[in-house]
Amino acid sequence: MGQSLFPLLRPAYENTPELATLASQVRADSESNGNLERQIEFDNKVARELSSLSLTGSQVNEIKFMLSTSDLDMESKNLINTMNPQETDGQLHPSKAVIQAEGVEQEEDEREESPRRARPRTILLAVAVGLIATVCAVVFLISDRLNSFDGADRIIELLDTANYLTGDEFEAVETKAGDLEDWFFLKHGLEHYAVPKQFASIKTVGCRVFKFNGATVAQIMAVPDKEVLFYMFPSDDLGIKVPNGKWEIVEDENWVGGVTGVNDTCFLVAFKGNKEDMKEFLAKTGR
Amino acid sequence: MNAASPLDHIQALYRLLLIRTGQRIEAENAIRQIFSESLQKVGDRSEKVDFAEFFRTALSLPAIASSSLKTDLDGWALALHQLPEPERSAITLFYLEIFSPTVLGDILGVDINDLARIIGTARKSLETVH
Repeated sequence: MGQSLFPLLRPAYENTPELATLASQVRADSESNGNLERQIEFDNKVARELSSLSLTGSQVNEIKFMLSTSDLDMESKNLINTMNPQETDGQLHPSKAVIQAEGVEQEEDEREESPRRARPRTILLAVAVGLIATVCAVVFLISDRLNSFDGADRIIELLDTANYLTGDEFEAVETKAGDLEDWFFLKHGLEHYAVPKQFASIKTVGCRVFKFNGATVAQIMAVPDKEVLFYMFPSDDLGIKVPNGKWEIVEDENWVGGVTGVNDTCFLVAFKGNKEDMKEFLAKTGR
Repeated sequence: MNAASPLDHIQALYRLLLIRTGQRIEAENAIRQIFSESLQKVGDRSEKVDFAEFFRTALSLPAIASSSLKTDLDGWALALHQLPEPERSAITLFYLEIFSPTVLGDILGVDINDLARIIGTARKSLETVH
């Protein structure tokens, strides 16, 4: 073979039977060794970039899962043989020798037994996955139902209108939220003004009245520590059913709303955030 | 040469497919197809996994010409992709260091002298390009 195999020399292959002799000859000669080092240096640059191309962890797990559910033995003789240079030298790997010694009869037994092992396991796995998926779907549906209330979709629509507010719609009114009942009645003839006690002392910066799906909605802008909007409207006008004193939380893309009933009025407090932010806000203002 | 783990083989197979296809999505689909088809062939028989067979299957898939599609590759990976066959697959497998040269020749269907010649040609092409 001689020098014709020189292009195959790399540190990883130098100890393989087919290249070991050539490698030791090349290493012994300074000029050849220099050429090899330059070749290795070049190869390393390319190999490094090649090894940077990788499947993600989840993709690898997907393939491992395929292999693990197939009843295949990944540490088998064939796998080892393909990686073991000794095999190319005609030497048997111990695992191969053992397998050959087991004889034809045992191989046949394994072939007969393997379907009986594989099928129930695959079926059980499929049933288990199906059951887990069904349970998850049922839990999701129940939880979704429990976390919802009549008219929740209207509240989400109402929250969505806040995305289009510029601030100019509001009339500047600097007072406490609990003191605005007369202002709304005298200015707009509004009778359904009711603010939960925990929000009564919050200072307002602006108020307005607008129509939404036929309902007259009183809206207040306040800035306790961030921009907050209060909405009040007759619960029946928008088909909202929330018990007095109980808070329901809904959210759309940008806004989160806390809804409660105050007598016949539906009170909604909203700000930009998520459900956790609203829970924290309600807990803080409720203290 | 240390024995490669199954994970090494999976990643190496993906790298070979990515160099051959030039596109991540194509390589991902191909690796799923190879494993899925191989496992179907095995069926209920308690076969042993022969990763070399997966690489043979990968090489039997139609090789995409480097000019035919947009590629996700750049740098040396792109240079490898732009090599003609069999140089492209041979030197990619050579750099992956998963199989010994003899096994590599067996997978590629060439003897070790031909393999050395192909690797030498591929390396020269790479050196010329970059």
